[in-house]
Amino acid sequence: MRVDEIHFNHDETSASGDALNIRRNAGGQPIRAPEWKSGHTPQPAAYARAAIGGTVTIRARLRGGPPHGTLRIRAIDAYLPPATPGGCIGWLLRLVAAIVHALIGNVLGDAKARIVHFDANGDSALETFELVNHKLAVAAVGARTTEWAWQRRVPRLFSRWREFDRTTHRIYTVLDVPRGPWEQDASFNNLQLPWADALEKACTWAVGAGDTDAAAARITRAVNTRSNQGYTPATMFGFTPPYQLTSYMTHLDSGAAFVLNCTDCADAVTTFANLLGCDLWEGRFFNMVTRKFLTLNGNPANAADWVSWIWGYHEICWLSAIGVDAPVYDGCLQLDMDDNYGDNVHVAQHPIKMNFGQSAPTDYRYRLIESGTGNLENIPRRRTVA
Amino acid sequence: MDEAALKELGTRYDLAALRARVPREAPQLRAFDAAALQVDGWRVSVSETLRTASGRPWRRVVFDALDAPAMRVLIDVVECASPAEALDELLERLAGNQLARLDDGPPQLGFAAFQHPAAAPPAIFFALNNLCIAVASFGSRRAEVLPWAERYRSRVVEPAR
Repeated sequence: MRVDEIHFNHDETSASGDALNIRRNAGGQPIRAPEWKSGHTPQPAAYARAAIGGTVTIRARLRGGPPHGTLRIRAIDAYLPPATPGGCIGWLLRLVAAIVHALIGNVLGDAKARIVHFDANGDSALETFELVNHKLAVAAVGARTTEWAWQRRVPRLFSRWREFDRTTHRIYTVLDVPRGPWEQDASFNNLQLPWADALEKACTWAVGAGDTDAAAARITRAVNTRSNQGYTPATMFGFTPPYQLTSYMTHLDSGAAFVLNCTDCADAVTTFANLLGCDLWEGRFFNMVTRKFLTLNGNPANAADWVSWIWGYHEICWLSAIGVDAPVYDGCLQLDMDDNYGDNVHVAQHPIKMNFGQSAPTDYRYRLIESGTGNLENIPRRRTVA
Repeated sequence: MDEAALKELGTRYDLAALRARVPREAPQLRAFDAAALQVDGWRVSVSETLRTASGRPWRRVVFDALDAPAMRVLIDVVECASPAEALDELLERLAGNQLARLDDGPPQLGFAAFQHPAAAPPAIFFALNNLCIAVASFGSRRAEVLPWAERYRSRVVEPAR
């Protein structure tokens, strides 16, 4: 007896009781249920915490059961804590293992036991299983792997559960349904469905983020500190949409050094953060001579990495809307929060949810712009991805 | 490019003067293979086929120096239907450049050419016939870009060589 297929996103019109509509990347087609099928490469699934309401279900089909028979079927977490020595070290190892399991292990809980009927061939129908003990409605951002042990039991008193199969699933948990440029319309080959390849990155960069502020902060830091990135003033991944996300990820994953500018960084922060349910927009401001700031992926201890530019524009991320009083995120640089701009003492700070502002010492504008208008272009953008 | 971006670009560059430079007739290149160039001491590490916002074919090639992998050169070639469209793609490059204004590039490269000032990482952008070509120092170590721009110009105007 074996599991034949498992459907996580069995209702493409809703994400309240099942998984989101996603695709692997720009190539191919959207990922359609069944995400797991015996003998095929498993596909991932993603759940949006805020969208989950009520019962979460999966659907599964089984084969090789008793012809015309009936069994109780369930799936439970196959994770077993590692064998550890006794004493304090053992306790510590068990604690570490539990934390690791909580961060990257089973988030789906268990498939609640139910009666399943088998036909003359020993096949079941596509049966709905309720997920119990799951953390989908409370989970922080994460990319997790669930391994299920599928068990059967003859439906009579005192019969024992016996394992008959194991399945493994890559599950992404995000805070809310992804916002633009991402969409949920799966009625056609929609390139703007969340990409699993991008979810893998965003969920890793922002792992453990429990709210959208934390998620946006972690994505901003991550984009700013990728070790193979450097700065150039020229946009490398598209100014007019689409944002060339495939190319960006190709270069990021290559490990080879490459350069990009503020528009590319704002694209990356907005695109990855909004994938997790954040509400960022990109927007520009114009004409400035900057104070010294820490360049993209710069080392604060290296004086040469503290630079100043004359810019015609700079593009950053805005929370919800563009405005003088709006909070901003900038993945392209780190500001100098030291008040003496005449010396070589610098205090680096990621611009994370800073007030754009004007002239207060805590304002982003004050910390970035030495002279110039810095006038805002009130055109919020979210570039589609390709 | 949206209207707002074009308008903003017009505050930094004389767009009418640039449009006046577009040749009425020019040889058309099709299926230009940006990766076919072979240069001693360099290897192609990345070759991508992209599409611009207008759906034009955009070939991206990255060359790595064999003896200094941190020295990389990116070549973007956008193939257009006409020189006027090639200028549109060049304007797109200018619009997406943070510098207040780029320096004029070597005039022999094409009917319009711009380059980064010396203080910035080297990059040249030019429109030649129906192509828009960008050459940028792409690695963590500076690479000269003018020789690469010249190589590509030669391939365009003297494809048989």
